[in-house]
Amino acid sequence: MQVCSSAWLRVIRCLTALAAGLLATSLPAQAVVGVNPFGVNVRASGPSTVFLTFQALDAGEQPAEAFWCGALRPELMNANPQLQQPVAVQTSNPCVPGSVYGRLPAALDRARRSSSGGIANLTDIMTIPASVARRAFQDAQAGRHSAFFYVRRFTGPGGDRWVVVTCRMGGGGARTPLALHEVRLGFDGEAGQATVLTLARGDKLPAWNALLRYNGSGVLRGRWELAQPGDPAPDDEDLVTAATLPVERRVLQRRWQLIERFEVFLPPTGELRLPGPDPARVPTALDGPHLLLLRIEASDDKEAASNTGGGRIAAAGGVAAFPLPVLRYHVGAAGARDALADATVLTLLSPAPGAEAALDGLALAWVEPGAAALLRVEIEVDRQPVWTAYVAPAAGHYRPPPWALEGRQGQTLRWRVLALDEQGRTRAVSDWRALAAR
Amino acid sequence: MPHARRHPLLPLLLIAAAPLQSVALPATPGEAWVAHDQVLRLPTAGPDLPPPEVLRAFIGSTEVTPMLRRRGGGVLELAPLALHWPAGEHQLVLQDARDWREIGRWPLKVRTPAGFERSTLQPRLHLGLDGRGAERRSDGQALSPRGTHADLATQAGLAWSAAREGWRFEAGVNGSGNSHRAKTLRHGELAARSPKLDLADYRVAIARGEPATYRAEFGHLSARSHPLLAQDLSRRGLALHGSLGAGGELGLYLLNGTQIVGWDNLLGLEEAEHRLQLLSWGLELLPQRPGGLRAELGLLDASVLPRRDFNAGSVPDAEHSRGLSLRLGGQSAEGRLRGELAFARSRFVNPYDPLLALAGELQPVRAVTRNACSAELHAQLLQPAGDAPGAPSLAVHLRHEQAAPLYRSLAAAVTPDQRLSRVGAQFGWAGAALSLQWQQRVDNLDRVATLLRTRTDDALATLSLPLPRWLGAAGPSVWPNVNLGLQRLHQRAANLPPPEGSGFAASQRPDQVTGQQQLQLGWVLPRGAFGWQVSRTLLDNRQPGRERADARSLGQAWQLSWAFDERWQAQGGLSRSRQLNVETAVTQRVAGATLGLDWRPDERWSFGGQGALNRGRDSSGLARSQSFSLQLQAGRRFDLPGIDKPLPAQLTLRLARQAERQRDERFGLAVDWRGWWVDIGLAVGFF
Repeated sequence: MQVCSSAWLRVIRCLTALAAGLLATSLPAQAVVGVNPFGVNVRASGPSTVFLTFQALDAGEQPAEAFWCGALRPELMNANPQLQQPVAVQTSNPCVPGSVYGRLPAALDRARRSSSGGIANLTDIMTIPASVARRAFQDAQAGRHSAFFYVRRFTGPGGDRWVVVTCRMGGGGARTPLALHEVRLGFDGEAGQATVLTLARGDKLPAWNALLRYNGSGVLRGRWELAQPGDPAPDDEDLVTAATLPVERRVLQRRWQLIERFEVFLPPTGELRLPGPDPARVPTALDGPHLLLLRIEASDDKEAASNTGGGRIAAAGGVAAFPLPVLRYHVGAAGARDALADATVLTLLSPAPGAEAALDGLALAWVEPGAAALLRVEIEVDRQPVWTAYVAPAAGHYRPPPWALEGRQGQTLRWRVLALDEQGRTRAVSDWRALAAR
Repeated sequence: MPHARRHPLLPLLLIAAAPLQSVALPATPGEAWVAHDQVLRLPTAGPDLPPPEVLRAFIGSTEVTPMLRRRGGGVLELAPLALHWPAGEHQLVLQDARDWREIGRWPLKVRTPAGFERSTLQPRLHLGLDGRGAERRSDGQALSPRGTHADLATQAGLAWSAAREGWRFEAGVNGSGNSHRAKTLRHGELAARSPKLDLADYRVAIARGEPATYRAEFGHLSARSHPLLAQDLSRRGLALHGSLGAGGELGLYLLNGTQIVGWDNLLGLEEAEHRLQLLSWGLELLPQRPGGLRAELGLLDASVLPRRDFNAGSVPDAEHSRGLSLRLGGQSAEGRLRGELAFARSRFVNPYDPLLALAGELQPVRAVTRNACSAELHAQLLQPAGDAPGAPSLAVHLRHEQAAPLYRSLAAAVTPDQRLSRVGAQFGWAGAALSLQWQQRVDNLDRVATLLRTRTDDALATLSLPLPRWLGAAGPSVWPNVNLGLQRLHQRAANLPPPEGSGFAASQRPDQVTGQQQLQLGWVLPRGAFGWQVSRTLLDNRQPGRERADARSLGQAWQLSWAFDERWQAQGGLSRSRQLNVETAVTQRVAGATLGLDWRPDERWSFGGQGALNRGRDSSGLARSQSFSLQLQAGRRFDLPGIDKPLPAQLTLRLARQAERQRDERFGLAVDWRGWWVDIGLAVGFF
């Protein structure tokens, strides 16, 4: 998808990229040359996630394991005592034996090859579990160096290479890359207990929110989307935040129906409850399973930015080590109570649909169906039953007692009639009809 | 692992399903419970009774006059015809329709068909077939990985609650299934091994007394004990609660280490290394005034494996903690002064985790025991009287909390190594509310010299003004409700760790001020609502060498919802935002519009449409994006013949169009495609 524009500047940029690509393929094995960023602030008392770019991999070079250690070999530390320069790529393990805090678990290893202007890179998501930070913290308490090191080993034609990233322990707020380390979605109130919320067709969805625990600060951009019955299910690649992917793969993330975009500032305090959009904006007319998706776009956070080579900076604010959770709800028919009989459609006579009617002396009338053992008249306000009456067949109308609908003046009622057989089963039913009470 | 096994609800369902023998003899309404199909003999008779054609009979809010009959000797009876008496406790009323004079009123207690005093059973089974009929993308690539397809989806559930002679029973189960494995509940966890029909959640409970004196429950439970040791937990497991008399309560919870779903590990307690055990004991120290002064003690023993909660994203670890908590809370008799003291002590360690070990090597984590505590006071200094809700009110609150370095309890999200102090005040008058709050956080409490110490000062003010109410509008008004929020936060390094021992240079120590201002105006319209929101954010870095690494953003949003009538509803929104990176002088702009329409001409037809357009670009001209989507849908509701009743069904058709255009010239990326698709669905509700 390389795009060469006709503008001179862009032509030069394209030629540079092509030259870099040619150079990379014509030279002998060079192996990985470095990593960006080579040093980051991380949270001392919890997990951290950082987007890294290992630059200029050789064609045959493969990433191997990644791990954290508490101390580098003395000659490396002596050469770079304040750790303000990148640690040079090593041809042997740079860590002091016995200082390993842990390896990056396979489930968190999201490293993948990427490219930037013809340069072959490895995009790595360094996710530091809290237990690794805890080991480093205990060492710092014991008087050792408080920084620790992330080391990724590469194997290739030129032999093994170790590349080092310095992790400086801080509070996890400002100056730390913006990253999510915990996301929980839930409906508000009692609905929050349901794994899959069940709704009757047309019911309003309860409000929901996302609890975000994060490092850093900055603007978080994203979208609430809705996957409806028939839509393909989102996979891991769709559910991770955009910043977790190499730049060229972000545009391949699929989209679902947009409910609302959001742009929220995350202060450097580590926790924020992000409210969902107005539930009235979420359609509940279609029966079937639905998914509410939280999609996070990459934001331009300076601390999280990663140089992919050639001055191309990947925005990586909002990186996360895991696929974001989804909220599930299922829309279905309201149940047997709403079952409609198809044998006979019962016809209502008066009052006319939507007509105004005085509650004092109100008379509801219908066309009598044949062979009903009993009729049931149902009156609702806001879809909640307020009055029910059983009426003997052949009456053809019903007058509620004056006190039954007391206080309902000014409200919109709806009513319908059902014909029942001897066993109480519905044999005919009318449509609901609105009535403006006065 | 067999999935269809050990159904925990079976015994209770059998009880519920087995109807007891009903008594055929007429019963007199009163304090005794009667059967649901029993003839009721009304204790009224005689020549004074009005003629039968003017008698009206009611049970609660249901008229049952057709069931009224007069026997010999003027005796009145109600005989169930094509219905059962509603279970529960009601009032049976007999009136004279000529003047609505009450002739008699009796309590009526009706048992359910199964013999319970109250019982409700709500089964639910939905089956749906949804599929993609056709799709196409302009660039020839597949629009979706599966192309045209059809999936069968189901959602089933059962909820039962009942009561009899002081015992209360509750049971509920929900399951979910899909013929396409990627849409199943546990696909994210088990991938190809995820069952196509899976258990979402269940709960069975039995309790004695009202309110419950004793309660036993298992399944998906909620537990809450202490803010520093065991916060709100929602897990699968087992719980026992008991009242110890004189205001004492005891609770025992055995819970899974994480929130789980599925048929496996049905009770949630199969793995000892992934389990929480919580014991809580509460005592009302002033039994005559519950809540006046209450003490609580909690004990927790918890171990978890590195697993995520279902439906949550996190970075898991293997952990073990054991702790003790104390809490003392109380309030004054009028409720104007209330406070709480909480303390927790927890021993925590990360056990050896083979997933973290590198060729067997892993530096061990030392087990440590640490404390956390909090104190809170809330005082209502001015309280409006009940008959003068518009009078001024003033409340202040103070909070202090502190968790030692390395403090951790597996059941509470407490930030360790932090001290927080907060003071706030809320002032109310005639519906207006002003809230002021200031708080300070400090970390690195042990002042480890090589660790960064951070101090954060946070000031927040919010104001809401009900202008329509003040200006006399009860409904729609030209005056909006106003909400204003202001926040200023300053986070900075409070120490200077030596670079040789920490790797920190001056520019890497935080010193950042953020400011946020937000204004919301909301109008109530005759048939809808309109809202406008504007928010502004300033991020100001002040570290040496990074003074220009600042950002400013401004966002605006407009929302309108309108109901043309009961059948026609529409809503739309516009949004605009821009973010300036001061250092690069590049401004990113995003603008969007959404529109939704909903038309339901009658009970059987429904139509809807949603459209969205979003555009983004930056001022460098190197990146831009545009996304457009439009979906139109129609639904037809009808009935399918069933065995004993018709089955409600819905047929749906959805047409959609999507267009994506993105270009990033820095990375040489370009995407430009348009696609459309047709989805068809059929859904049937069996219960």
